[in-house]
Amino acid sequence: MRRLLIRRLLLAVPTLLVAATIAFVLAHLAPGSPAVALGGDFGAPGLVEEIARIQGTDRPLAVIYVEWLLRLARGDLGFSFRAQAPVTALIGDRLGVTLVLTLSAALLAMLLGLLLGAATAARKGGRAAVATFALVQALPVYLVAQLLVLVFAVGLGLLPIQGLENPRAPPEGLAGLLADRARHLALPIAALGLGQFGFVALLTRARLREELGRLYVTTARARGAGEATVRLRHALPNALLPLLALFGSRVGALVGGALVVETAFALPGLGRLAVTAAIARDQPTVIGVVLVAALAIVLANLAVDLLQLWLDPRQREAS
Amino acid sequence: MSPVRLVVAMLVLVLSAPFASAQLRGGTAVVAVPSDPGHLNPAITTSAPVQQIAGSIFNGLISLDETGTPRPDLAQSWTIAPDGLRVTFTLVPDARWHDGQPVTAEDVKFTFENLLFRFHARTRAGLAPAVESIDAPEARTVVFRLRRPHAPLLRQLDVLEAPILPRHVYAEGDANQHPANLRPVGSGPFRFESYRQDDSVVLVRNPAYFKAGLPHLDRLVFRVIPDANTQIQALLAGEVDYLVRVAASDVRRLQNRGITLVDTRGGAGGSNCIMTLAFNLERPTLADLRVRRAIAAAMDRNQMLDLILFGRGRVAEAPISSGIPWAHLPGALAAHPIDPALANRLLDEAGHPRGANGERFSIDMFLYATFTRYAELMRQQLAQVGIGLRARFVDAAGLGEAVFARRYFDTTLVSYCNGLDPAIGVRRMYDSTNIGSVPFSNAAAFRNAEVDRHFAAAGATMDEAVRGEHYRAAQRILAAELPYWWLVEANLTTAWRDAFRGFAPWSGSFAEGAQRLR
Repeated sequence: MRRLLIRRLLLAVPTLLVAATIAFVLAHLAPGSPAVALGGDFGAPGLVEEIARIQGTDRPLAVIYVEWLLRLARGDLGFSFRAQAPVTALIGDRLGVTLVLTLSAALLAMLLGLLLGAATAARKGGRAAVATFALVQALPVYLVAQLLVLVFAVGLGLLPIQGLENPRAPPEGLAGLLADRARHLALPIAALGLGQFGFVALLTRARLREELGRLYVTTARARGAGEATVRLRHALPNALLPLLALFGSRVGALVGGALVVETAFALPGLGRLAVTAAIARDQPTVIGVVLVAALAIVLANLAVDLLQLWLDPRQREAS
Repeated sequence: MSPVRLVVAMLVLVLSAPFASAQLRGGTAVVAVPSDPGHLNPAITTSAPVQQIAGSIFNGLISLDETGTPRPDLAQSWTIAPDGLRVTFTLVPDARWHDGQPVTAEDVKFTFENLLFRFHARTRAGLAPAVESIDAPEARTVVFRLRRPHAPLLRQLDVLEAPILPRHVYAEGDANQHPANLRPVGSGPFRFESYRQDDSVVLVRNPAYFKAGLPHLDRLVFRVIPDANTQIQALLAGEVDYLVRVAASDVRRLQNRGITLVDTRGGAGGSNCIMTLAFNLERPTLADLRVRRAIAAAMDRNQMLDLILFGRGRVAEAPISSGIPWAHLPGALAAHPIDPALANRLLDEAGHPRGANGERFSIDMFLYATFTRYAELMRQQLAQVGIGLRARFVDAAGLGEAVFARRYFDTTLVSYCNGLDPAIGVRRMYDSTNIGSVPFSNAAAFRNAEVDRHFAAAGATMDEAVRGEHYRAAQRILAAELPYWWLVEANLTTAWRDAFRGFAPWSGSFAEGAQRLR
C-alpha cells in the first residue's frame, strides 16, 4: 500500500507539470497583456511599453517559461502583476473560503444523495424521484443560487444575500464569528451542494436497485432482516464502491461550481481570484490557481483510490 | 409672540443646534463596487475600481462640482498669469497626511513628476506634454510652468485625474510594487483601515481632516459585489447602502422602494460618455462613405434610447457630448435622419446588391458582453437594409488586442467618455497621430489634417470662445465624414438608500459630505 502511495505521488508530479504548462500556454495565448490591462485606456505613448519592461513581460515567452519553471521547482508561484503580491500569498488568503465551501457542499451532496437515493430505491415507483433528481442535477448552479436567495434571503429574510460577514456589525468572539460565518455560508453551500446532490442520488438509487436484485439480499431478507437493515447494512456498502470512484471524478465540477457560487454571493474565494486575474491577464495568478485546482483533483482521486483499496478486500489482494 | 417667548424659543434653537448636528454625525455607509481594485494607488492607474475607492482617501489640488467648475481642495486659491504660461497654487495651511505629517508643495511636485507623469495614463498623455516644470518655491506654493497655454489644466487636477500622494511614503521604492499601494496614506476625508481582496475595503473617518466638520460618516465600507443582480437585492434588503452604478434596465426595480436615484453625466470611471460605433476605415467596404452613411441612416437611435436606456439619456446630437455645452455643436448630426430607403439606395450605388438570401454583405462588431442589447437591436435594424452584423464579445484586454493593437475588426461598439474637456477625452478619438495599440485611441484610424489642426489649436489656447469655434469646426467635418456613428449619450445612474443624504456621485470624493439620517 505504501509502495502504491509513493508511486501515485510520483506520477502526480508529471501530471501537475503538464497541467501547469497547458495553463501557462493558454494564459499567454489569450489576447492582451497585463501591461495593457494595467496601463489604462488613454493614449500615453510609451506607457504600456514601460510597464511591460518593469514587469518583464516584454521578454520572449520561452525565457519567461524557463524562469517560471525554475521558480516553480522551488515552490514559488511568482508575483501577481495586478495585486502586487506573491501568488502563493494570494492563494493562501483565498483557500479557506473555497475549502469550506467545496468540502461542506460535497458532504451535503453526499449525505443528502445517499439518504434520498436509498430511500427511493424501492422496486416500484420512484419515477417522480428520478425526475426530481435529474432536474436538480440539470439546473445551472447560478439559477439554483438565485432561487435560494429569492426564497430564503429576499422572501423569508432568514439569511443574508451576499458576503462573508456583516460589515456594519462585525461579529465578536469565536462563537459569534462562527455563527456569523455559518449564516453567510449556508446559502452558498446549499447552492453548490444541490448541484452535486442530484448526481449522487441518481447513482445511489441505480446502484442500490442493482444490488437489491442480488442473491445475498434475498438471503438477508429470508433470514428476516428488516428492509432498512437490508438496504443500509447489506446493499449500500456494496453499492458504494463504484460510487466513490465516480465522486472523485466530480471534484472538477465542484471547483467549477465554486467559481459561480463565489461570484453570485460575492465571496472572496479562489474562483473569484481566478476570474479577476484572468480579466487583468495576470498570468502568474491564473496559472497558480489552475495548479491548485489540478492538485486538488489529483489528491482527491488519490484519496478515493486509497479509500477503495481499504474498503474492498479484492482490490487489496490484487495490489 | 411675546419677547420672552421669543428669547426662550431662540435659546432652545441655539442650544439644540449641537444635538441636531450630532444626530447627523456618525454611522457606516456600505458601498457596493462591481470589481476589486487590486491596489489603492490612484496615481499609477486610471482604473475605475481604484479611483472609486481612493477618491475618498486622497485629495486633488482642486475639486470639481456638479457642473465641472473648479473648487478649492488642497489648493485654497490659484492665479493664472495673463499669458497663460504660469499657474500658481496656494495650498491650504492645515492639511495633514493620515500619519500626521503636513502636506507640502514638495509632495505635489513629487507626485506629478515621479508618479502621475509616469504612470497615470490620462495625465501622462493629456497634461505632461504641456508642462515645462513644476516648482515648489515655498512650502505652500506650487507653480506650474507651461510650454504653451493649456486650457483643460484645472479640470485635470481633481482627485480622479491628479491625486496628490505623500513624498515621504513613496520616495523610496518602485511605485508599481510599493507596499503603501496596499495600505495607502492620504490626506482625504477617510483613512485606510483594511483591505481584503475581492471582499471589502474599510475606511474610517479622518478626525483631523482639513475641511472643518467633514466628513460626517464614521466608516465607509466598500463591498466588492460583481453580480449586478446581487447588488440590487443587497441594496433593497439594506445590506448595502449605495450602488455606484445601476443599469437603466434595473432602475425600475428600485423605484418607490425607499431608494434615491440620481442621474449624472459622470464620476469615477468616466464622464460625458457617448455610445459610439467605430468604423475601421482601413477595411475597403467601410472606407466607402456611402456605406457609412447607409449604416447611419438604417439605425433608429430613438429605439436605443427607449428600449435600452429606458429614456435615461439622449440621442447623440453631435460628436462632442452635450455635457460640454461650450464645445458641443447642437444639431450637427441632423443631416443623417433615419431613412432605410436612402440606406438601400446608397448601398446599391456603392455596389453591394442583395444576394439570394436578401443580404448584401456582413460585418463584425467587437463589443463587451454588457452591451449585448445594443448588438441585438443593431442586428435587427441593419438586417432591414441587407447588412449582416456578427457580434464578437470580448473583455477589455481582448478588445484592446483585436481592435487597437491588431486592428482585426470591421466595427466596434465603444462607450467613449469625453471627460470634462474635449482635450482630455475627445481628441484621442480623431487625432491621426493617435492610431495604435493604446485602448480607446483612434479606433477608426481616421486621418484628417484639418481636424488635427482644429484639435491642436483648441488645446493650445485658454480662450473658451476660440476653443469652442475650433471644436465646432471639427465637428462639422466629422459629421460629414462619419468615421464613427455616435449613438446615444447614456446617463449614469447612482442609487442610495433614503437613510442617507449628501452623496456627490459626480465627484471622486463622493462621500465627503454624506450624512446618515437615521
